[in-house]
Amino acid sequence: MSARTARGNRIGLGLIGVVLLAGGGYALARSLGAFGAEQAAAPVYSERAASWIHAQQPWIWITLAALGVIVAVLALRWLLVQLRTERLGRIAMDTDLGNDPDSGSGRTTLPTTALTAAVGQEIDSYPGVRAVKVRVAGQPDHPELRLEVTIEPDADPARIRTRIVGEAITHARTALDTQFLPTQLLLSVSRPSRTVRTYI
Amino acid sequence: MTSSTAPPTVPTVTTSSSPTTAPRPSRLPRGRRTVSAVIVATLLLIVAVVVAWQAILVQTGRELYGVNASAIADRLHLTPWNDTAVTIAAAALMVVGLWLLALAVLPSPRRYLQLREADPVLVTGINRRNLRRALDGAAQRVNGISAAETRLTKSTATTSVTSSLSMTGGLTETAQNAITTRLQQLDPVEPIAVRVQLSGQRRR
Repeated sequence: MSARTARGNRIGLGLIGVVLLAGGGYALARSLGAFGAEQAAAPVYSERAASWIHAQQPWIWITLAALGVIVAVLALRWLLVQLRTERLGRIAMDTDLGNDPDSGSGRTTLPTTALTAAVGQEIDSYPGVRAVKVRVAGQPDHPELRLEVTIEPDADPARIRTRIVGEAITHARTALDTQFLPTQLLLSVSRPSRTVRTYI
Repeated sequence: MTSSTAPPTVPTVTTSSSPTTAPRPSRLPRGRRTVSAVIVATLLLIVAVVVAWQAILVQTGRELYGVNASAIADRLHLTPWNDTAVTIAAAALMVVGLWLLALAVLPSPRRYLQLREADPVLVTGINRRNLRRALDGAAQRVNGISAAETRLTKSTATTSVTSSLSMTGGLTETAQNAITTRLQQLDPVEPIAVRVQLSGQRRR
């Protein structure tokens, strides 16, 4: 899921929260007599409301149906964006096309699979690493590396982290010819074995 | 597994952002309110579809489906605003609204503990379950300890170790040193104190 979806969730939940709070607050205030005893004793569905709805026909039903459809489409879209991921398929590149003065420089895109496979294979080869997941997120011209590394329970995490930073990430930066490659590293530890040890 | 230091075989090209613009560093993922969003969006979808469908039925001169509209109208006509049921329903609506608003406004809980990194564009994190596993693993490597289980609070890791040795003198200190070393290797940004308890002896 992307950061955009997280922001959308906050906005959506906040809007629904405000609507429910406002509606519930009005009903509670009226119920407790904040608008006067007469208003509190009035029926929830008054004659006045009934005649107003009757007077608005047929537009009220058309409006209600249209509103229902619009809200349903928005709700469906809200549900579908939960499936959106931050995975980036291609990285935008500035390429130097060589010494030919007519060719100059150009902009092209590179599939991220080459980078993720190379970084994944390299980290996977480190002693103590059990599994690696690599993906590229962010924008095509501002890629970010996302690493999920599972290490053995008895592995030295400091040594593995040092190798990841000093070798794998450095190699990725070199390959992309950039000194800035924001990287998120999430460490996991595989389940320790419960075998009883022999001792001293 | 064998060690390899061969660089990735990716074509040497330049990302569009390099080298002058420094993008913002990554951040550790936080809760994204997916479960709440899915529940609210599903309920909203159901309510909106039902409202639209019933409105279309009325507009086309058909009976409402599964709803006795006149009975509901009569009931609401006889129910005053100060009826207890209306008060309770309004209060419940307010509570749900406040809860959703709080969910949207308050920052979601952190899922990962940040580990110290020298490189400013690298952010490293470990979740609490995996930190517990790492500390359990460190304790279990100590000779004489047959099982270890760590409980984590915000600033303290308490590991209960079990031994099948009859003489356990110094075992707690050795386990404490092993766990402290593992914690130093991980190097969390917020310091965590280590406590070790010998919880019992297990016979082989």
